[in-house]
Amino acid sequence: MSTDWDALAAHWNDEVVRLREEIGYTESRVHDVHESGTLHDSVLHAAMAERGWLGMAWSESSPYAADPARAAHTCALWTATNYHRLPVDFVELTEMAAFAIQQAGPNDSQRSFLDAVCRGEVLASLGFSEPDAGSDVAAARTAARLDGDEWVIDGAKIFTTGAHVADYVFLLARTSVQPRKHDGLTMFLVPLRAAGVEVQPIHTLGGERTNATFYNEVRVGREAVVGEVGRGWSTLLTGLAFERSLMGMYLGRAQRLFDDLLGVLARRGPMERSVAVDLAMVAARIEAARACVEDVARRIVEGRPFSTEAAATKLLSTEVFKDLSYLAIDIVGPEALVAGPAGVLGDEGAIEHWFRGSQVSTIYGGSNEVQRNIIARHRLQLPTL
Amino acid sequence: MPAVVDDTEEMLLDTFSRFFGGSDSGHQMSVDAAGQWTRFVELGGHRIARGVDSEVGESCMLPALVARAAGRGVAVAPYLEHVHAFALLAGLGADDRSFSDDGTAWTVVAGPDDAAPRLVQGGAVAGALVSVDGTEVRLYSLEGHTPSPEPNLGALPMARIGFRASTPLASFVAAPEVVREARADRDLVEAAWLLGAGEAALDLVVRHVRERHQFDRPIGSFQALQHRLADCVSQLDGALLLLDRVARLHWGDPRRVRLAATTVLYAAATAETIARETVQMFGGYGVCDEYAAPHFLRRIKARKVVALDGFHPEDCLPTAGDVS
Repeated sequence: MSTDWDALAAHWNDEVVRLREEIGYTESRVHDVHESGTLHDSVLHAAMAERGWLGMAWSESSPYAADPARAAHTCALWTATNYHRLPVDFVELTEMAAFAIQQAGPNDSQRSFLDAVCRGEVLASLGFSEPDAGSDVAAARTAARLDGDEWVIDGAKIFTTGAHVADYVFLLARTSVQPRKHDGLTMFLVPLRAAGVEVQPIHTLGGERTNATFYNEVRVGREAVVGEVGRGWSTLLTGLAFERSLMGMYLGRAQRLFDDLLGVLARRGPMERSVAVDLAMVAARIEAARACVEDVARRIVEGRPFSTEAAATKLLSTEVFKDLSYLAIDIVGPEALVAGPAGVLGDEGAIEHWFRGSQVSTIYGGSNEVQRNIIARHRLQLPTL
Repeated sequence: MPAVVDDTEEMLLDTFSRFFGGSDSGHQMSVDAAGQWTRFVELGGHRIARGVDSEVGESCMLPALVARAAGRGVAVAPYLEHVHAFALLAGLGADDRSFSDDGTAWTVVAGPDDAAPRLVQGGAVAGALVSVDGTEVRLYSLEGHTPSPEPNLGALPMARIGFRASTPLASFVAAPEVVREARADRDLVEAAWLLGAGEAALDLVVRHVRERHQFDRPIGSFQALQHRLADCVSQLDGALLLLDRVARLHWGDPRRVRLAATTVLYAAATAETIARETVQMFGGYGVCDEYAAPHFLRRIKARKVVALDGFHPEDCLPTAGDVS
């Protein structure tokens, strides 16, 4: 299959710009949402749904369902939304959960959920990490036991981003103890308004609010199980692979910070050679990350394996994003420290905000150390201990 | 592997990888450069350059594949310089066919044609020279002029050549875009060579860490090494994908010149990182001449310096109008 990736990227950039104009989404509004720490906007969410942009990669009712390049459209869309700093973080998390549920074979209740996702009516957060199970997510201790026709969930999750506005949590729980810790896990789609669910805020370096969520005797029906009982690990991996396929989002952010930085430097006059050398290397790394994002999209479109390639894409795109945020502050100097619209980028977001926000990119979505483990094992076939 | 090659391209890559010896020949630091060029011409390798063979087409993909194969093995023939020279000749509309048919190796030197001998890449083998000074382009024959190669870090066939000893053939004033597009071809084959060498070095070190046991286990099982190698292979795969994307762009594509500059910069950094890690992970053997690891470091470091000679970092940056 031949796809003009540059044309696709330009198309989705234009579409996102048009959407922003149509709903009057100004830079100052973007700024306000970022300042709030809750990276979601219901007007934007509804506008994306109206245009058929939700469920584009996985829903059979999507206007893109028959398009063999639908995954490539998705990659380009998330790259563009992030380039334009649209607060779509919770929508992305919802898409990830929905993709995994779609792949696991949804029941009637879950089909209703998926339809509602496409209509932009619901949001889901991810309940994977626990206080003592971060990168080692299979060490989850949150437990679910069957009591008659109900599952009873007890435990705690951390970094349940978006849980304070979402409707559901896509939750990993242990349903049996097995010799191999990856066995005996099950995925649930749990309503966050269920009795016994408690959400507590965690404020982060990047200004984003995430949450700790607690589950105290939370009762859900059998229909809340996603996929097979005890096979939750493979369902979880499907979701994580989809998340990594969205790594265009970090590419979009890196490209935006890079372009804004060049704009600032252009206004300052001729660039020192040492600065130009540093920026040239960033430009080169961004282009390499872009080539990787395109490769992953192409692989998804062609039905080829992409999980290891997605890990490498995550590694390259987040490392350059984070390195650039350090470099931008160093190059611009004290003006880069000024927060809010008074900073050198004006309404387009302060460099210090980019700096703070970039730090988590190498941690969320599977830390980059985990990605390196995946690459070492599957790309290089290096021995394990 | 990430490279997106069709059957013809795969065959070309295999053919020239075998010709240059592949990564298994890495224990050799050098071979007879003039002899290698003669055999390369017999194989028709010199014709895989812009304007020489119509099958090369408007992109730099096929020269990049040959260059990648050259990087994998022990390549001392001045193929990269030859590609650059013919890109200039083709852009100038010179009768490049008459220049190419005799199998002469061409090379390129930038800067004024002053009296002092200049260090010329490929100069120890080349029979003809393209001198580029801004948009002034002059062609010289080096026939009957056999300069001694300058011993160097990477065993490159470089030599000092004085223009007074050379025979002028023709001169042109090139359009600036011709010089830039030809430089883009050079950037791409240099990038491909570096990545070919990086691939070979990485193959070598990955085999080593799988087989070498210390503390009763393969050293490749240590996360300290695994993570660095994961970084290496991720950068290499990204660089190869980028090369593949840019090498397929046609002359005149507005993206090509800038992206070619970014490609060679990234390829050079990637290959150097792999070479450094290869020596380090081989431990003491990494500095022993009878092993391939130090040869890769020497070759890659030397070629990186040559590839980025005359490099302008601004070429990698979008122009003001392109910034959103």
